[in-house]
Amino acid sequence: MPPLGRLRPVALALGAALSLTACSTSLIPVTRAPTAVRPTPATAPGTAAQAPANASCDPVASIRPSGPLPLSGEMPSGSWMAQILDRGRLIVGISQDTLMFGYLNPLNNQIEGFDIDLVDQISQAIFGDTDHIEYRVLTPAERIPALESGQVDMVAETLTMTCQRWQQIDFSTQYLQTYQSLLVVKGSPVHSLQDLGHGKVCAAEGTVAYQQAASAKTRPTVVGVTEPTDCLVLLQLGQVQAITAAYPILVGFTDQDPNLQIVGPPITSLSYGIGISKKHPDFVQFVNSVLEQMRSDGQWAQSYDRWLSQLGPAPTPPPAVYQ
Amino acid sequence: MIAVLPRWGSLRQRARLIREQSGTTPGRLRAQSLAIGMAGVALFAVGAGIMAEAGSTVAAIANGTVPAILGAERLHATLADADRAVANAFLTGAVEATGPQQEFQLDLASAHRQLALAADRAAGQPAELARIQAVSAELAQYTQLVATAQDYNRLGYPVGSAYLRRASALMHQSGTGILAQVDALAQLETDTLSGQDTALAITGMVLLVYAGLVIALLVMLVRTQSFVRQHFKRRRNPRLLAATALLLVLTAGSAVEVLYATESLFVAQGQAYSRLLGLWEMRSIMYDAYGNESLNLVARGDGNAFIAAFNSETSQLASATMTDTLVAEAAHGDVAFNGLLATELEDASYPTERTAALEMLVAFRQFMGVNGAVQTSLLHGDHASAALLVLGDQPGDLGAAFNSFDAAAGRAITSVQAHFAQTLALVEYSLFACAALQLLALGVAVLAYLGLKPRIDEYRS
Repeated sequence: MPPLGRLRPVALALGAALSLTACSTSLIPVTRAPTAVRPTPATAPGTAAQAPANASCDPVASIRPSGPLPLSGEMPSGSWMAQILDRGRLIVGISQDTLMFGYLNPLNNQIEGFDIDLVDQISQAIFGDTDHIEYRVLTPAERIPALESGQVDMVAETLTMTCQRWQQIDFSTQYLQTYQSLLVVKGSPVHSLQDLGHGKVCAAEGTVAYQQAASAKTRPTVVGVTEPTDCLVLLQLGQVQAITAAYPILVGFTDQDPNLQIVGPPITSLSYGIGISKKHPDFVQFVNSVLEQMRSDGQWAQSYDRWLSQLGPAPTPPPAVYQ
Repeated sequence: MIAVLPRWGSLRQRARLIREQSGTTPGRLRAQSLAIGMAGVALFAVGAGIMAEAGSTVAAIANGTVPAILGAERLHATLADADRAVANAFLTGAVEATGPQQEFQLDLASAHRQLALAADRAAGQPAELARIQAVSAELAQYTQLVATAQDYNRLGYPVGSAYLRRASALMHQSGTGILAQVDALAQLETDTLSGQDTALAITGMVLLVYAGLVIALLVMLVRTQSFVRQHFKRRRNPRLLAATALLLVLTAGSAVEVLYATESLFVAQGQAYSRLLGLWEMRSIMYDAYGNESLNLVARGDGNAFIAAFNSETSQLASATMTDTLVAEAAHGDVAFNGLLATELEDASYPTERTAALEMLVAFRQFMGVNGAVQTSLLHGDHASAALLVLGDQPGDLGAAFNSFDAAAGRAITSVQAHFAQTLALVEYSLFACAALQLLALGVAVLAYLGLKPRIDEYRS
């Protein structure tokens, strides 16, 4: 974005804040939000959200592919992929307002992002093109129920792999490792969940971040919303003091409003996987094969560079872990 | 000779003299003349008062309350249309989609004009003014949210959609949303109309007093005529007869005017007013329904709430799934479904209105047909085709069907409103004319006095 272009969101956010809220702007100089942080800190803590439901659970271990990828348009008979092929469209649950991952770009009216690139690769593998995808926008809380009820074939929407969720759905192998963090207005005295006390923190319902905030020892007031971006609006309107969500999502927020900054240590580590119904383990294996291919042929790194470069240089793709 | 009351005599003396004179012929004539005169003046005062009061109430209904109610309905429709235009602009995706954006700006400007007009009308009414101020404040907030959303859209940032969601929620939120505030304003005015209707009903009951006075005056005139005939050996007193005839003319004239006004008022308020409200309600509902269709597409598969709202709204217009057969039957006067459209088709009184109502039905049928095509496209995952159908304004598109419905509703409203205003103006004129007619009551008193004066004078000489 050109320099002047970068100032526009600043002005916009300031304008919105001045006209819509009574919150004052701090004049205390603060450090800029980090712009080049690797998605996975070496010391990202494990937490209750990822604690296995049983001792043998590894939340990032998926089902090993049974063989090489079938040719596109020639799915194994009786497989879920064959049914998708027959149906003529791959139905995918996505977000349409998560910058960098899955969002409707108002400038070209296309849904774009890192998650969408993964979906495109899976569609390529099934159909040989990307023209057979039906997107269904899901709120975070709707993702698991949509998979369980069969409304969608898969969910590619920054879905964190947890042992609790493994009991409801299956996951592909992890495609991104990151962590949960905290976002505040620049100059805010809040630098961690502990600093908030009983203050208001916003999180999208149905997310790991929401659970984490709700179970924090300091008992902050968690304001639940249906979409993560609703949190950004609430923060800009001065109705909450902080937002907690996955770090890349918060980076997307700072991009949209440079008056905000990410603070504090990582709250918990998160691994993203593609959610798939437990009824279709063959589809999980198929998707894992596609992800393997993306890791090895550089597609993953290309997508990362295209969408997530603000998180830092493309790291090595998260390794596939199998059960 | 008639005895003259001592000017400065004691009350006892005066009372004795009146008692003595009331038994005499001239005394009775004077008493009768006085009673008729007083009754005539009372008849004038009561009659003119009732009619002037009723006329003022009707004028207040015609020029104040009903325009305020219809203004609130119009404001509701305009604001719902503004929100629809915003949803369409977002669905279009183009940053500066001129069509929907222009519609939004026009709606917004119109809404501000209507609010200013409503504030003028509500001068001196604190409850109404408070509502109007609340709507204005929320509308400013809404406009700011939409502007922020559009600014973010121009920058290519998805948080714009969150601002749009918030703006739309502010518009439609039950109880405290902008449209709910506008509806509450309409309800305040409707309460005022109920009060005015009650006032008219009470005025109608005071007509019994008027009727009693007429009967009393008539009895007095007949008995005085009879007294004069007996005591003066004259067959009749022409001026007393003229006074009686004038009283009958006054009574008949007043009765005709009151009956005409009552019936016209009943027709205007009981029928035309109800239809006007119904037509505005249908218009608003269609704006909401079209907006929900757009928002459902914006939500991309997560729009069950919008679909439910769309179905609920359109079922208020017609209870049955609209088919060509139902439309054809309705065109022949056989309306085989329920809902606001059915009521309008059955009650439409004027040719222009009836034609427009049928056009609304045809457009509604097309609207629902295109909606079916939109849902089919969505079912097959073809979001792009569905969006084209919703945004398009060519024949076969949702926009075209909506525009046809809106134009027909506008024609029906214009027709009914013109008749309604004309009828109320005639009622108002009729009531004020009737008030003026009450001057005849004074004529009755004068004629009676002139008829009796020569007889009284005979005793002076």
